Amino acid sequence: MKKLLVLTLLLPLLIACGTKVERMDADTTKDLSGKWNDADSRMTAETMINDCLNANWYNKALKAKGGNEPVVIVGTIKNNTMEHINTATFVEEMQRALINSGKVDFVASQDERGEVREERLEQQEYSSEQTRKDFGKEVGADYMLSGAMESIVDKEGRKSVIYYQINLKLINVETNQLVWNGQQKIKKYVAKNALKF
Amino acid sequence: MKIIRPRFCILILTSLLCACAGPSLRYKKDISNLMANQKFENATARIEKNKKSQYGEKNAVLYQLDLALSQQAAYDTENSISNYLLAQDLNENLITKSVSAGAGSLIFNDNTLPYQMPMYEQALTYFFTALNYLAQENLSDAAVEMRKAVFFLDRYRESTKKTYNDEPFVQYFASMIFEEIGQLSSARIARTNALNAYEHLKGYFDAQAPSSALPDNYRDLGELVFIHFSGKSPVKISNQMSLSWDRLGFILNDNNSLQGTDKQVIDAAFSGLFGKTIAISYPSYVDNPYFGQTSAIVLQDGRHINTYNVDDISSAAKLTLQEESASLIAKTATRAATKFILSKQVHDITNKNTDKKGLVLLVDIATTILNTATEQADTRTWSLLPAQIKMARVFLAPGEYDIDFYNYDARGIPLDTYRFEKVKLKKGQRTYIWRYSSK
Repeated sequence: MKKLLVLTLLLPLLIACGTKVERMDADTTKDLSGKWNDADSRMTAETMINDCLNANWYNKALKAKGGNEPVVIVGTIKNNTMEHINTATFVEEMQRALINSGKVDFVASQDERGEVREERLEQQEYSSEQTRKDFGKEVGADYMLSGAMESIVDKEGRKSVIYYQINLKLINVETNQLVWNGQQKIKKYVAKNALKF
Repeated sequence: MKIIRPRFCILILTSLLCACAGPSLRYKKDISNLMANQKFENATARIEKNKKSQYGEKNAVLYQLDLALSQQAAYDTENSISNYLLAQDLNENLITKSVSAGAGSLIFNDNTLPYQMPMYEQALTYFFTALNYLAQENLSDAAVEMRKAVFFLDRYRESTKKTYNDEPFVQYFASMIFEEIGQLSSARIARTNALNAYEHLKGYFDAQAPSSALPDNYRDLGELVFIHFSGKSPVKISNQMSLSWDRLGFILNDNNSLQGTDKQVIDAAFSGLFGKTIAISYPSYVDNPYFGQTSAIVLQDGRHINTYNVDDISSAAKLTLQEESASLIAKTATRAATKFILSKQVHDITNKNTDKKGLVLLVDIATTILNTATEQADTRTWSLLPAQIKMARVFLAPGEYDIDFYNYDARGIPLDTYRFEKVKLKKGQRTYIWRYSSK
């Protein structure tokens, strides 16, 4: 009887000490805190890029370029929310969706371009003449995609509603014309437990 | 001896063990001295080493706060940010109340509850974290912190009837950040709230709103914002009174002022040791001495820019406690009554089950000792906080500057000096630097 009592007392301790790790599919949606997560980032990027590429501006751009795909660059996505969101992840998701669509050509971002230019500069000194790449052959972007993430939080005690609004704009680099304006909304209800033992 | 069962004893002892009262006064003093002597890395190492022994699970928030501030003082911004964010998360999760801890606070003391930040501490975590991000030239994430601050403070102000219902400096700082990212509407609202709060707290706080005067050619200049974490915040101590329930009600004995106390009172309290006394405790603040009175930054051209108080954390702590005193008294009284009823029941059961008067007396003494020993005021507080936040602002031509900092005592003798080397100022931008100097 005593042994059983000791075992009963020790069992919760043993269970509490273990760390459980399991692999999961990268596309699985798992919400823990209710904050912006990888699933939000992925789904928003896919939906918005799909919306963008199916909008009217695309056919006009194709026509204007004589059937050649327009060249797009992703600019800055501002984080105006109350969460530390890694906008770089979101930008990467959008780049992936754009490239995979096969409907647009894509050029490297400002930071990446800087690195490539440095490499090209070094090639002029260290690489053989046959393999070195020339300056002045970069493809200029026709359109820039930029935007902002906003959030509104309504909170009462342990319950909160978080509303995210992601606004993206596609701007003609030459004319500054706004050719597409997309919006994606996500609303989450988060309720934390009132009590624990 | 049927009544005192081992299981009962285990339950009592376990609960006692759980009643971690937070870092000891001696430990807090040691850490505070290391910080005052600018040995920030040593303070960080000491805090990390004492995670379990001084803080424990119940004071996890306090541990993260102490750690984050010591790292911030050493400009270890990356780790400091992680620890502030963790403290904020842990604090947020305390919204889920622990039933066992809650019951423990009713029977033993408030130290059974996890440490939860009061309003001013929580608001300051946003400011400190933002400052760390600014040192990393990450204005976007600094703005996130200040949005969190404003959201928290605005909701707090609307939901409380307390005098100290907003944190003026944190609101002001938020307005500066919003201004920098071009969100002028949010900046205006935060600035208005800040100025209202400064005005509202005039009689309580020794602090003024930061100056917002601009030189004519400000667009061509960069702005240096220097922040001094000055002095030591007050220390929370526990005071204990003995309430004797014997015959004519209770007799008070404040053990902090035994000198000059009527002998009859002491005798009565002493007699309580033999089964008739309930101890109650309450916290109060005592000032933590420091010598720094004024501070300044000195530019390469010899110009002295004096700092001024923009936040009075010392008064914030005292005012917070003062405004909580009514609810603390109510809770303490409830706990005293609970303890009395439990003691009485133990006494009656013992009396009923044995005719040995000696045993009854022994049980009475044991319950009294248990009641007295477990009655401790909650003296936990973020003790590494400075007493004041001081600020100096100056506009300078873009470039690199060596900036000297001086912390002076009342006679104008420097207690601490520090040179910030090659501080970069960019046109149309603010550069933030800080120094923790608490001597």
